[in-house]
Amino acid sequence: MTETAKKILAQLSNVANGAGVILPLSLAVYPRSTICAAIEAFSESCELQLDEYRDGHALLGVRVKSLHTSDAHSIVGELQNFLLRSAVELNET
Amino acid sequence: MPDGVTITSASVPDPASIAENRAAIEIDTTIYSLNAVLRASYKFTDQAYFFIAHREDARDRVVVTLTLNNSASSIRVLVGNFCNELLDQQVRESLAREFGDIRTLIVAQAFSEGNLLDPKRDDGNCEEDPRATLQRR
Repeated sequence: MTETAKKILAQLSNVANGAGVILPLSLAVYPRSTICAAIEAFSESCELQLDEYRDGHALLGVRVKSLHTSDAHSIVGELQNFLLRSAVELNET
Repeated sequence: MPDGVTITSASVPDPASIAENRAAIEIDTTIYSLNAVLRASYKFTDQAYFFIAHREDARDRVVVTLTLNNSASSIRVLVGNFCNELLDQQVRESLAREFGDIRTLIVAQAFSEGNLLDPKRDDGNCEEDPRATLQRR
């Protein structure tokens, strides 16, 4: 298993523990506009923080708010799919 | 599995209960384009949560992480279906690149009244034989 895969899997497994996750985003996969749309869409259920750390890469910190902790797994999952759908739809246009 | 795809079953140390619901797939983007990866992932968003990241030490590879949602499908079946869909999307993309212009022309011809390739073909009087077809016999 590659280091990248290990890191992501470890991050995602933290969701079940109620901890926050940091998603390493490539702007080539998820353009900035899709990330901004996701932040806006999920701001009610999550605390989201975007850090662009070098050209073409960003880190999205996600922490599910305490009120929604029991649904953390599905909320973070839906956030991932939201990013994906937005990226695909942007590619289509 | 097709070339260019490496599958890693999730073996997350804890909690073990969710390890069965997750897998990471490494894809060589010189074989399968990023667009094909996105489209293939998109198709299964009703069954799993997808996350796509570039590998830190190899920019031509992406890691796709699948996490089953609450549907009943198994991760092994989903990974297999995803790989087949990836191949399908890549073939579609290759065909579109190869024959896209011809397809556009066929569609345009189907909806046009004249002949797009030879506008004078349908003009003239057939008795005058403007294309000299009778002389070839």
